[in-house]
Amino acid sequence: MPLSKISQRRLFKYKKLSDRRFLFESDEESDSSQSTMAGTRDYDHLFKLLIIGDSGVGKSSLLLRFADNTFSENYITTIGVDFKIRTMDINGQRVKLQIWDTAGQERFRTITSTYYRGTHGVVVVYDVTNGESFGNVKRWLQEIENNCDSVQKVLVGNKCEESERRVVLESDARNYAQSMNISFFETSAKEDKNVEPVCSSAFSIESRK
Amino acid sequence: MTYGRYRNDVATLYDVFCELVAPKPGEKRASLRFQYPDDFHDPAIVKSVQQFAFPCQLRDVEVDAVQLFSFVLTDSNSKFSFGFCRYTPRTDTCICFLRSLMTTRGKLSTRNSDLCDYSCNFCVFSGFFWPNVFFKALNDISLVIGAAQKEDVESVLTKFYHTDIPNIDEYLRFADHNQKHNYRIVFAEKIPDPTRLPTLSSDKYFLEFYNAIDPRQMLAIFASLLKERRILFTGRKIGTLSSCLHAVSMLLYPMCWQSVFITILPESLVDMVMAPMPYLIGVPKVVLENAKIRLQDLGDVVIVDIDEKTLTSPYDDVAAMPSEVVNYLKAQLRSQSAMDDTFAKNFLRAMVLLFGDYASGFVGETHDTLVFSKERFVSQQRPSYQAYLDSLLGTDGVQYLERFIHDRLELFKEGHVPGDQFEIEIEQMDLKNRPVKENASDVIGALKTSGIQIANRLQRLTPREIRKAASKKKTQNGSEQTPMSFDNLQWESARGDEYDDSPIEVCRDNVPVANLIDFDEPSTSSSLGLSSADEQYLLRPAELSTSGVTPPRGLENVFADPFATSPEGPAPPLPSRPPPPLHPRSIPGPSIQPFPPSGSSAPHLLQFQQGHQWTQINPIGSVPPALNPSVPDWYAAPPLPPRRPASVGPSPGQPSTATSFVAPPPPPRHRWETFE
Repeated sequence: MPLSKISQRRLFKYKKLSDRRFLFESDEESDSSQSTMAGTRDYDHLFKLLIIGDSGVGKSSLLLRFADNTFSENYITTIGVDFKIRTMDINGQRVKLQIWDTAGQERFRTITSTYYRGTHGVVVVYDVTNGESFGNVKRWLQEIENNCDSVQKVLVGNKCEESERRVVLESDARNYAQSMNISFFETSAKEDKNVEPVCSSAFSIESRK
Repeated sequence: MTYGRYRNDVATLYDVFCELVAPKPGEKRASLRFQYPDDFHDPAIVKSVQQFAFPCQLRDVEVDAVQLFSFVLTDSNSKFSFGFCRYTPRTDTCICFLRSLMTTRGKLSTRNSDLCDYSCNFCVFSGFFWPNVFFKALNDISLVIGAAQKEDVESVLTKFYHTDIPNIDEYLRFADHNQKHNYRIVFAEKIPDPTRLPTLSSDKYFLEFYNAIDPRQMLAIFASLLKERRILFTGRKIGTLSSCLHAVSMLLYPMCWQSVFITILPESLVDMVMAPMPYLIGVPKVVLENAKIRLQDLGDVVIVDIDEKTLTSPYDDVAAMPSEVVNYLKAQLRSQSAMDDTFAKNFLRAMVLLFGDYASGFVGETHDTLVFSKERFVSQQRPSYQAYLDSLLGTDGVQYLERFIHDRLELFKEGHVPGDQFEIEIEQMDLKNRPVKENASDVIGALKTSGIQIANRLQRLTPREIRKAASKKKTQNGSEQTPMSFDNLQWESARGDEYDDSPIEVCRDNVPVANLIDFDEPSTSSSLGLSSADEQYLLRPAELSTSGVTPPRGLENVFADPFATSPEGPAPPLPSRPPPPLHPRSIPGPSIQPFPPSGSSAPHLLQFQQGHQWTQINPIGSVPPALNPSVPDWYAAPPLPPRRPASVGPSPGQPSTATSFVAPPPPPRHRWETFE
């Protein structure tokens, strides 16, 4: 099923729901000083992405590069979950991208659909200097595929600045991504290389309607 | 390596004690007035305490009452620390103990090392975080703070900090007094045994959950837990709120909630309710009301409102559960009144019904080559369970189950025998079911008798008219509902078809897409509005009609009847489980635990069921011993073929897929081999 259909159904569902269930928003227009994170209606669409990958592949630094506000606190060590926000303008619409991360996900062998069914897409990160992390990524992607889920995926090889220690060849990963029909990027969170395209790619998937 | 979520690097009774003053308007965190030990240098943790001990403006919540609540912090390794707080409205301060979980093995291993080591690694009941001890200590220390000098407080805290950690089932005793400064603390709290089920009389969390939540909502919460939904609790009393969250997380025992778990979400973090992954979050009502979050940004969340006693969910998870489990839990939760561990046991038994046969999925010739085959496991279950279990293991892929199976597999591979309450219950329920099945006529006889008695009693109660009136009244009220609140239209529509077969009232007309489950029940109807599934369960119509007793109208009142709720009442028989599998513990291998000397375990305890692999009944609390080929004949396991023996047939009278089951080697492509 094309994603656009799903998204539309989702929105439809929400609209239906909001008639029945109680609303969290209040009628009064909120003052903009309060919670610029997500509380106010300063956007037209909200998309949620999930970032997954072994510990040590540089998820948190990638997340920081994604984020609008790099000075925001990190709650992953407090409550085990955190997210960063990226706001974009697409065709005159304000779109907010939330990228979520959770602690200790590497203890799961499988990233199952209960884990990502609330998201619009998954950013799967491995470390180009760590072959095992790439193996895990492949396993996860395969399992997502096996579940026949239409969730969108982006493959990211991080730490591409460490050319001497590289063990995962870019061509291998690219071929793999092609065979899985997903987008692929090599990034360097450290040097802020190629992070932007990941963002917009994840995004274009969403906005393809 | 196992994946419990409790830290095991703790040596003192608590990590840090803090006294905090409410944040001033505009401040994000409470200010720290006092801290012990003062050399506790972990700014991140202290900062978190400042944030979580005042999750919202507590003074607004309830003007006069002291509030006892607890919060949970999750570190980057997904391990928990617990904060126990006491808020005093008079001074607008909060005192708080922060404590990582205690699993000091040396201490706990004194009685039965295997059992304790084992339970350290798995999800355990509240015993390990001893809320009673800490809340008691907080109450006493608040008295000292009020009456004595700062030095006295410090001396009390120092003594408490260095108090010896007692063994399980022993008392933690603490006494301190100073005549001159006029304070005196004496208390003794029993350290609960983490390997036992919590009781309502001794477990604060379970008791508050039991008091706050309607049985049918409990069922729906349990069903959503099993499906790993995103579940949000809200309420004004943050003490009740946090207790409910703790209790709910323990319903999955022996499994562990693996995802986000936040008992009290501070106002500054309210955006976390938008998290797309499964979570269990408690949000104070004020925080939720002040938050400006669009419902559509929240997503498909199950929302439990403790004050309004409502539960809204976009899913009908109860309907998806096998009806045996639903009926069992419904009947049990309705009639729950004992203050012992039956409440926890009800859920444990539901878990046994669902997953008790997990070991049938383990395939392999030896311990080392054991793997879990999902297909094999599912195919061995009763037909009514298969679809549900298949979806839990397949399309849903719930993490708590994956972790559980992984951990059990590791145990078996290492040659250990798990011996927790879950395993004990598996054996108990197997044995309990057998006589029931064999003496089915007796059971029917009992049901007939109770049916007649109930019918007689019902003639004295004529609730139909009363109910009608109540229903009318309710409808009027319902129409006045504002759109900004949880509505109970759901309930109205469901009232019309009380004799409908659906196990819970689900509004199908009003909300075509959302399929709301609203459990809002007025007090008049809560004891009356039983679905017919309950009736069927207690008084099977077929059986009644054979005896000439027709099910009386308004039969659902059996639960309003003291007869039915009394412990001697017609407790429904446990739904039977499939025959026990070829258990990995019976796979020939090095015996780990010495078998009790012959004669110590009376032979009369042995059941000779044809093909029954588990030949010994173990008293509660003991570890089921491994079968050992060297013991006398009656202990010996029958010769084991490598796969499920054909002799493990279905129980008499019970339809089972295993009847003619010849285990085909699962196709390798689909084989779900291991969770490594």
